[in-house]
Amino acid sequence: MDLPKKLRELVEEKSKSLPEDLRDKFVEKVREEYERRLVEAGEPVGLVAAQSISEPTTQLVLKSFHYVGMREFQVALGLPRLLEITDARKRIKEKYMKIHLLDEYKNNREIAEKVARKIVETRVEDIMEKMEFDILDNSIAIYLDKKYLEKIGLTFEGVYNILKRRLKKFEVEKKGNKIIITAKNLKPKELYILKENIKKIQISGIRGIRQVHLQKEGEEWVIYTNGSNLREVMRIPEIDYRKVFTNDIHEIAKVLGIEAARRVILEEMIKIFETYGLRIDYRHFSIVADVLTWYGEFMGITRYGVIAEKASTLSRAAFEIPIKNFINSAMLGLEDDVSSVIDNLLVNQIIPLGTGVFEVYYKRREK
Amino acid sequence: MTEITTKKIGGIIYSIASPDLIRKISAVKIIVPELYDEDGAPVRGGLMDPRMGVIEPGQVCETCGKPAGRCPGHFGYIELARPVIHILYVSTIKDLLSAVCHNCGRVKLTEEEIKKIKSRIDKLRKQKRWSRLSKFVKKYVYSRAKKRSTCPHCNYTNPKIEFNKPYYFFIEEGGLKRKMYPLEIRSILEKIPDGDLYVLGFHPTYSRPEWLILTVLPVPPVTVRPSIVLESGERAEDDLTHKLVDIVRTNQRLKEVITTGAPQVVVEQLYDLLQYHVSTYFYNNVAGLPKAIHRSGKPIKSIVERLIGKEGIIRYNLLGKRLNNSGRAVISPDTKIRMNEIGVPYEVAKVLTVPERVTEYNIEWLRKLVLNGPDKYPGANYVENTEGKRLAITNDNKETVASLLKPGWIVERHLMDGDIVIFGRYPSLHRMSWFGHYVRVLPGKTFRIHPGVCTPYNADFDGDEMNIYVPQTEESRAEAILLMELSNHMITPRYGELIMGGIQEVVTGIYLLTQDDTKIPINQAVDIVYKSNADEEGLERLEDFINRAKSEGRDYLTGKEVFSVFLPKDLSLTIKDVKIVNGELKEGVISSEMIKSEKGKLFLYIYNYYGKEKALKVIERIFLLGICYQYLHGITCGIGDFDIPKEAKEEIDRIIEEAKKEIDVLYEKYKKGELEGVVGRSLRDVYVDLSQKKIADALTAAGSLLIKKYIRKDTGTYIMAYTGARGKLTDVYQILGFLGQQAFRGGLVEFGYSGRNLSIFKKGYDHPIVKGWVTSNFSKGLKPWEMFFHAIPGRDALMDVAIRTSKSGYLYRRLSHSIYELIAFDDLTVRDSKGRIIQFIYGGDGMFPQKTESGTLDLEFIVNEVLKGLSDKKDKDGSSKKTKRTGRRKK
Repeated sequence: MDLPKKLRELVEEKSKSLPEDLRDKFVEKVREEYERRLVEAGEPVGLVAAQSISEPTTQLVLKSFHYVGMREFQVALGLPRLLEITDARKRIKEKYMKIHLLDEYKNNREIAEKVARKIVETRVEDIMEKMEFDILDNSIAIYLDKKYLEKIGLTFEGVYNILKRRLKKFEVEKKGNKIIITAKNLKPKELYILKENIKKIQISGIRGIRQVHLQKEGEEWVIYTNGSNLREVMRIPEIDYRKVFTNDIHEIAKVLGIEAARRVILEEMIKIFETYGLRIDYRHFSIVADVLTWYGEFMGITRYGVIAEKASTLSRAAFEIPIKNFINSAMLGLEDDVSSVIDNLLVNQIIPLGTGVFEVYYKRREK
Repeated sequence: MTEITTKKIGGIIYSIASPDLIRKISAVKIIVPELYDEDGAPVRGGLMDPRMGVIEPGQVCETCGKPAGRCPGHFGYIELARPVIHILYVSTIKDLLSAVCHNCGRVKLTEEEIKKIKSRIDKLRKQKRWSRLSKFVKKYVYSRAKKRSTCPHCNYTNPKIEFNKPYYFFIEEGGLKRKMYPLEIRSILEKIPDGDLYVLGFHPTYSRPEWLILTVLPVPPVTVRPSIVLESGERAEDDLTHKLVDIVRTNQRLKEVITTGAPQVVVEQLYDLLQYHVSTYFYNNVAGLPKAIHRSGKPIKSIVERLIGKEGIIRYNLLGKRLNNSGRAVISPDTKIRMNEIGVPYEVAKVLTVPERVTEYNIEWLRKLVLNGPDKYPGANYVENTEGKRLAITNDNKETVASLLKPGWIVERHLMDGDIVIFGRYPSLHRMSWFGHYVRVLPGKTFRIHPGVCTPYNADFDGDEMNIYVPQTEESRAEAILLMELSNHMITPRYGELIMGGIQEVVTGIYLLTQDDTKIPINQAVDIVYKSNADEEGLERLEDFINRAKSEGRDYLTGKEVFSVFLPKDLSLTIKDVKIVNGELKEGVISSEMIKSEKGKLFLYIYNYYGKEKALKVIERIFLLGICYQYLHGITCGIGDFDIPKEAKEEIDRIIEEAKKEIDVLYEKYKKGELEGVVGRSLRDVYVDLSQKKIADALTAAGSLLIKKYIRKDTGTYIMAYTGARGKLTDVYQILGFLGQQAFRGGLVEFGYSGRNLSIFKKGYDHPIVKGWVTSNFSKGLKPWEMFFHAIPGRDALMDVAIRTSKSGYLYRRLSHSIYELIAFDDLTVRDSKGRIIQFIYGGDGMFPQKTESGTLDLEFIVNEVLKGLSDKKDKDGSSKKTKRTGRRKK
């Protein structure tokens, strides 16, 4: 058995500090110790991982928020976050991104601010002072906050053009500091719905990112966002697309692929337990991360996710919803080879874990 | 001995029972609704027909000729007068009716589509991705075929089907809606050709859709639904029997009504009733159907309800096994037994037995045990002769039994010293909750455990009870010794460090012992070393130390020398300040980091390089040493430990006052709106944040001042906190400083009356002092409202714990169900039970955390070992570490 690459490098480095005649002995000794530490065949590494993760989970705090770098910016950790990952939830509570700028810009606050402004999603409701609603003319008047527009680098003309483009069905005109939208044939109720929809029209920025925070980390300016849109953010030229982070694992799986998602699952889980000072070996998380992503997509550990994918009917039935599983299996007329743990447990046979994996053969001696 | 043939179940096929199959497997046709005749004997052809199996002892089954207990039971069947829809398959039937042409029975898909779908189904079936297959069929076959009304095969325009819950089908023909009877549905389903069935997700040989319309109903054997005789002599039947009686009765009446040619309405009514009974027999919780009830009003338990849920057959009976040869008792501590031993009371030892096969070598010994009988320890309770017949030993027959005893018999003798048992504590959250222990039979009524194993069990002695199981076969005993025995699991696989080690006074004891200035008179040193159970090697070392002391003119040993007595002779180790050279502690104080459970660096190295036996011995000895020295030294705790001078109190008051004033200033600013804002946060948030920071700073200032300057360092409390045995130094903050902000859900305490928490405060005053800041400390005592504030997060935490345990319990169930099958193979891959590879090399490097030092291989130690040439020496004196450690792998 060869040493793994990482260990080999370490050993090479360490052996340099040794006198030459001892080096071979050292490597030999390391190999011996390494081989002693290898996992034994039949070891139920899955169960050990499940136990190792679950046992300290009782100590995780249920309602907890943690600050990422700054006091204004909180991220959910603890049990809720762990459940988000293991359930593969699509809608997570505190979506956030961490964005690094390219090396040449990263110490420049102005550029960081400019990028931040570019990223944040601005809707009509953010830039207007008030909105008037005229049932007589069937029109809506939007009063824009010019000061604010200036602050975020937009012009009245620009907003007008965007609205005109977006509301092609209706008449859009500008009068002084207000934009009037006239919709002739709408009933009052429909007009009201239109008004609410206009409020949500995106003027600038990236969809989904509602807030940005600038944070100085060392010399570098880092942008944190509430909400996430990985694909769009990675297109911005000033940012370092290799360092963009989002905690939305589904998005990562979609944009960067399943291996990236696996990596993030692993790191996020390690982070959760590290924050509370609970020590768990990374190998246990790696098994969970591998199982969550094994089918090429990010699947939760639920009756609809990973467990539904099990080949054995009895295993699925033993977990949840037994009847539906039996009904379906009978319909499909499926054959099962009684190889899983639960199957064998149910029919009172030796389970394929630990010493149950092995069979003993012996060669009868000829007399 | 009885000849046992073993068969292994190689596979299970799930299928829908066809009427033919049901008739074929049945022993009886049920036609009579009555159960018993006037004499109380079961009616032939009734639901308790003896041909369906026997339940009462003494009877013999008419079908298989086996007695009760051995007869597995046999099915019967009811020939239904009219076909009935299987309630659990209504939705499938509904889907089929809309996906299939009523005229020619083909799927309403073109040949091309069918071909494509077929190949996809082939693939999914081969991969055994059943849930995918179901989803695929639903999405691409049923929903597509449903949309077409004209059949692409025969151009027949299919009528619209309407489904009314729970099991009524209607068909629209020529603008008229009429009811569709199961018979008609069945005739449509019968038309579907095999090839199309495959596309629809069915398996043509194992599951035909027309079998979903029942024409024959199987009747489960009596063993499934045993009747019980009540104390009053009355018979009480099982729920299923009750339901079946209803079915048979309705069925017979329907048959009569049809043959006598009664009006259509009557037939219809009875038909509907039959459908209802059959449906509720399967599942008594259908939406839209009234629940079938007993005369008492209690709903009847249907077949489905028997299976599902935590108390259902699957999870309660099939996955949860209950064992004999087990016991449970309160635990108490005993430091004088070994860690891998357990003290068992005589009362328990006399009940739990170990089967021992009689050979010519042990026959005399076993005969003696049999002669002692069941009451006198050590005795025996049962014998089993060569025919496999079990015989209880009583005081009357023990002489006879003893004289009959011969090789080949089995004697179930009492539990004795040295037997292996499995011992553990619930909740068993990890595998270290169950260990193999060796028995020590002791007087007393409780199980005795070494306090060193409390940590993995998470046990204490405030009334905890633990469980014992006695393995009954040689195989299980071998596994218990080789795999489960305690010394194999001293390192947790969670993060690869020792979980057993010193706790409580052991930590303080060793800390005090290894102080630089600890001097122990030689006679006392000898005393505590003996009390600590020193072995030959230890005594030899003690002698060396004494000789050295004497030659140096000392009449005492240093604490470090006494501690070193129990270290391995050739151990050299440097961890932080602690320096051990050739088995002697030279520098540093042994703190909790070195020996406390869950930390124990020192023990970890001994375990990894000297083997488990040595490590166990060292831990046990040092455990005792700590306790012995602690007794010698003495440690007391009291409120006096927290006596501080008056000026200290004044200083702390001053710190609090200052913090208060600073927050007052902040408050003023905030009120006037002069506070500098932060993007994305309201002004109040900023104010709260800043004031909270002030409070926290004041608390640390007060606390560190106390610890640095005022608190006495020689008190028991301080030593305990400092060594990490119990309590934390920061607890002093709250005892002598102040309690600080009582946070509720991450913020100030904000509820109660409008504008204030309690009516004693001024309305609208937004200062932390009225929103949960407690400025008193525990030694001074809290003011009434502070007491109230303090109770709030306490209650909140209580709720939190209750919710959290259930959530994390469910998470564990899910996690384990998703990955319990994964095992490591000898090529270091991780695979599931179907042989699919999850990881190519376990964890990237193949090392199992339980065998590592905190998840890695400590090269530093090996470097030192190589440098000192220690490894050579060890090999020479034949240190057994290689043979003792399991799992050594050859290249």
